[in-house]
Amino acid sequence: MGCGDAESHAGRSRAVTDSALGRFEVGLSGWRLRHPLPGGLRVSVLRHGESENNVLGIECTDLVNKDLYGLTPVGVEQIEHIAEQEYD
Amino acid sequence: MRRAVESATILADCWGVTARREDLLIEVNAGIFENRPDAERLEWKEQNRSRYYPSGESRSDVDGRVSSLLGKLRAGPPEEHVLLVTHGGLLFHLLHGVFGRVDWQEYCEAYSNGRRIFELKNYESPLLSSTTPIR
Repeated sequence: MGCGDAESHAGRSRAVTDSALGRFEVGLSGWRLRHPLPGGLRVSVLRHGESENNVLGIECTDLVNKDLYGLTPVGVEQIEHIAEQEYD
Repeated sequence: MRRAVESATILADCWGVTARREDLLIEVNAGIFENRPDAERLEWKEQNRSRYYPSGESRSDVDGRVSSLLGKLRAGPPEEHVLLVTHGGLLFHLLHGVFGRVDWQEYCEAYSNGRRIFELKNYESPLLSSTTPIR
């Protein structure tokens, strides 16, 4: 895994990491990048909004089914809200 | 994929930017549980202590996809800000590929559907939260 050093730090207080994390305050701030990104490149991630298969409790992941289920109205609102929040 | 594309399209329209479909971001294939109730998959997962399902993508399959994706990002314009809109399973593997280890419980808390955007920063800290090997 290339993160033996990570293991040596496991179990230390999460609260400390939470103080200076900005967007990583939910437990992610203390993780270090195993493969640093090139300088200047910024990568952000977002998990899609609530979708119809989530609500129905149906697994759908492969290419055959990938277009069956879209966002619910709640999912659309979630993403619109994020778009407004993050717009700058 | 449709739900991720819809999400990305909403954002792109609001921000006046271009969304591009990337098939490497498709959700992890759940094999025999495809189009079946989640409860069946979760039961199998619990019993077998594995998130890789019969006839579905293996860990090496998904790792390969993540590796290709990271390669594409590194090969792109260095001054870009890219937002990846994807699915829960694939996102977990992506974070695992970037960070080395990811705690599943923390991941679930932080990355529920449509919750917020997280930026992956070249951040190094001597502190790490509890970690769980990916299975």
